[in-house]
Amino acid sequence: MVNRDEHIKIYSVTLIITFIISVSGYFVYHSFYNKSFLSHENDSPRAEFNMETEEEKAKIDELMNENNKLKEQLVEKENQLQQEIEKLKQDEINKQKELIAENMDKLMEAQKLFYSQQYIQCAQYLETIDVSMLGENSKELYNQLAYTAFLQAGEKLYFEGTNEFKVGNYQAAIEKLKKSFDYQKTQYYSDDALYFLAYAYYKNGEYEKASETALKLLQDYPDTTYRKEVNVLISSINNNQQQ
Amino acid sequence: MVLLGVLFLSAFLIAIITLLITKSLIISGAAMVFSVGFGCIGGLISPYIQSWIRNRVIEKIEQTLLSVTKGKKKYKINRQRYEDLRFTQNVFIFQSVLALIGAFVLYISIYKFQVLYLVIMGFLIILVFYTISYYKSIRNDIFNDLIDRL
Repeated sequence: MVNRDEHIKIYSVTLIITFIISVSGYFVYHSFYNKSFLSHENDSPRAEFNMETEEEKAKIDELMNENNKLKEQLVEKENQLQQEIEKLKQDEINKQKELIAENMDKLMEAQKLFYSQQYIQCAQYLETIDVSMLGENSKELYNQLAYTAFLQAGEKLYFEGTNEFKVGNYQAAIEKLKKSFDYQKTQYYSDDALYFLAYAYYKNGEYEKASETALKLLQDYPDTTYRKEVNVLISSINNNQQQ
Repeated sequence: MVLLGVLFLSAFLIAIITLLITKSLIISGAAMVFSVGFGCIGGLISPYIQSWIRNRVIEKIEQTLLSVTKGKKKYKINRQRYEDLRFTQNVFIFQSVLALIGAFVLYISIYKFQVLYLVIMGFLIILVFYTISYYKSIRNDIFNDLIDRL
């Protein structure tokens, strides 16, 4: 059997006591806290503890503010960095696009020159093309053009170079024969081109280059018909160098 | 007195948990005071809630009986008989949940975590659901008793 009135009475009294305890506790704590804070007395260990707590709180607040500021700065920097990365990526893409377009233009120009049988100019254009920038179809076109263009240009440059050599225009002969050898190294005239190149260097007074070229000829083309001439040339170069 | 002892025990438990979490005697003491205070409020209001629910149930049953006899015979159910029906259970639930709410009110006032408002809302929702189920169980109890006495 529950006595309701008694229950309510007990709970009311307990509530009042609790209320009184909480209010008085709050005031005691508050007054103690204020006293220690305002008087700056560090005599009692309790007061000192409160002081420290207050100082610590202020420090924590300060550090938190600093932390928040740093976080904001970090976010800002991250955003800036992200933007810069995006910009760089875009720039890189644009650059790639420009390079591809440039290579395609060169290929088109080379094709035009090829059809008009200007093989030397065509080969010069093809030389400047970066093949890695081309697509599959363009690469195929490049290979087709390059095979014939370099072959024709090599031969043509060889004949032009030897003609220049014959008329004593050694500088022009050097340029043309060098190009011819660069384009074709396995043709019937490749060793001839190298011989005339060495000779042109010799005639032009560039003995070191002449010697290097002559040695290269002997090394790369051991069956060359110019073996004797080359040996004579080398001895002449040596004589000239000694003098 | 037993219920009050249970309330103090619950508040003491809350204070110990608070002490373990916050490592502060002042906060744990305050949590105990808040828990006891709010628990007392729960213990105080629960008898009134119980009697209000009980009266509502009895009135409804009386009205039903009156409608069954088409107003010819009026039944009067003895209210004294059901005065203590599930009284202890009701007080226990209300004081415990309110003690918890009291502790969380203190945590909110100190730490100001928004999520704690949701926790308190959860406790209040639990109390509402409990009150509904309490109403149903009291109605069943009275019905069963009336049927047994027929």
